[in-house]
Amino acid sequence: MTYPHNIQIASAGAITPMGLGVDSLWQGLLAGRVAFSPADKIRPYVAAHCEIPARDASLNLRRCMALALESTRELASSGEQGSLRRALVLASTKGELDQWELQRAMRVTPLERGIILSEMALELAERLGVNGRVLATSTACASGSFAAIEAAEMLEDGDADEALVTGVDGLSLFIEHGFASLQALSKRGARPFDLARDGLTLGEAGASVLLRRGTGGGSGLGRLVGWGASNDANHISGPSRDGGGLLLAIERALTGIDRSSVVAICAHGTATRYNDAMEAHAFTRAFKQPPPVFSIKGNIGHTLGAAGVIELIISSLVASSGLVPATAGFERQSPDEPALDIVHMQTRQVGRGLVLSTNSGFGGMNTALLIAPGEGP
Amino acid sequence: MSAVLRAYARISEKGLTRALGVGGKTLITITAWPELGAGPLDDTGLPALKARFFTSKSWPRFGRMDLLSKLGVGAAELCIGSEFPQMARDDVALVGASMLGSLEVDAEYHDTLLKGGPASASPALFVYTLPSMFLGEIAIGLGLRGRTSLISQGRLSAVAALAAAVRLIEKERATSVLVVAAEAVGPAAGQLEVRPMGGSGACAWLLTCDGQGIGRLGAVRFGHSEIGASVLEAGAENYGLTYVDALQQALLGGRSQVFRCGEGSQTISLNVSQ
Repeated sequence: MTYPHNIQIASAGAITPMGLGVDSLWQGLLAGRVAFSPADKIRPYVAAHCEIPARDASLNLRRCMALALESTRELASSGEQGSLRRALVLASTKGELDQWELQRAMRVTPLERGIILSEMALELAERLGVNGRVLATSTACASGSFAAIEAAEMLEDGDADEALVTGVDGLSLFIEHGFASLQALSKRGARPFDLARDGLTLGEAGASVLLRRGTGGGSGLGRLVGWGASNDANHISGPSRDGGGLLLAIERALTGIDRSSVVAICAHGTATRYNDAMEAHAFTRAFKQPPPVFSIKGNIGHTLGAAGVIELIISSLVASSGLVPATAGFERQSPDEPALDIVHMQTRQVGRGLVLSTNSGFGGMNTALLIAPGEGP
Repeated sequence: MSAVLRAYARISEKGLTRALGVGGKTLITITAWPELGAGPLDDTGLPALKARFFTSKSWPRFGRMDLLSKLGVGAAELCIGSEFPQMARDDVALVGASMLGSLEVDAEYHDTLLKGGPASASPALFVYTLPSMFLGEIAIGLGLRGRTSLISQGRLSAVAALAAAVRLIEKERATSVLVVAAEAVGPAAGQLEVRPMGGSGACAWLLTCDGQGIGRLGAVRFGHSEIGASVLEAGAENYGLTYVDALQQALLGGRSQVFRCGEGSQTISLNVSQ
């Protein structure tokens, strides 16, 4: 089948509350594992912190490094790095906030500069030997998916032969208390789309994908074949009530696409009341009969700037395997919201096909990515 | 295909600069802060900003915004404002740029946590600790529902965002793009090992796929050590706005040229023509 775009997702790496590697995440999701742990009164549940040993870099950079290196392992063994222009697009909401926070509390001067996203990206690129364009992007909780759009367009425009997209954010008191002050945190653990949902659970993670133009040899995890982005222009910290902003992004991603070939939607699904309702409106407006919907934030929490990249990876695996993981915590939807077919209780086989992945963030940011199965055997 | 530069706005320590392409000519307005009745410059490098400096319309939220958002919406309003009321704003893409992002609010919010503990966390401050929040304010204020992105590429940030916007037009991904680059500089910037580079400021460019304007922009190249340091444009260091004033001279100077700039091994070039 021919699509408007054809960007290969050549390889991927992830460190999530499920552990190190994409396989641990995928197997954990298929098994219905929930990686939350009790914390305290202010932040009742958080997803488990990631553990990567390293001595000479701050926490988030260590995670980036591990991920990016894992993602580029294939290239390192291919022996062709020298002839390719490789770009790096870093996505994060707060960069190395944890180190900055710690150093400020200890009155260290001067402070490390990793909180400046472009500085963090340059340092990461230097360590990885990236020989092309390096930039950072930050569009709140849609950062990761927007970074994939930036990278895909960079490839289509011929600015790079390969692009490494890395999304990362860590947990810190700064972020946790901020979300607590917004009364956005769940007291029981995130339950996306459930009638009784009461907020999100924060998680920390990092993930990378290596993108190439066309098939580029090899089967790859999947293909990015459509994308769109939009702004609600409505409220700085709340989504539009009718899903109109996200709908614009979805319509842009589905331009020229037979909607009946979309087999699943990987929703942003934060488990906040307004986000999930907004998505239900957008999905039912975009599709006469929306395909099965799932969210992984009931398993690993909301990983902020990493979420879009992780969900791109999971959407690729769903597209290629036809398996849709169950939405942890979901039992039944509110009758006041447009009805969706939320995959829950157990993994569902839907067959190989297109998967739509959506993200939304503060400031009205919306993205929609369309992922096709890999072209492998 | 090239992009038409319809309007340009700049906020700096000197005041406001606005340029519009009207009837084949460029109308440039420069207003110093005292002419606007502004107070003295403070430690941000600017006077206290008020909505009336940028627009005659009521903007109730303006006073509650952080400095980065005030700069962003101010530059956006100056640039797009009432001159383009007919524009289909569902289709106007918004490309933002900032190197420091929300750093100053980050520090202010963090100080409240250090002094008052978790219970003192302010939701009103916390929402502005996202570097892209100023773009949300612009989108709300001007009703822009196109794709919205923030580029951070060090001192190249503003030029990188403008180049990315030209590409959006050239590749027919958008028909109109508003580019807004802003830096809020205060005490927190001085705590970084990045050496101080200047004060707060902002600029905005409005690009469209057709029509008459100040000039045309095209032939964007993002390079890696391709241009060479010896031919880079000089620019007074000012975080992500470093090359903005040199670019302003190129855009308003009335002659066609290739504008080039670079930092380290990262380079950008684009054609500027009248």
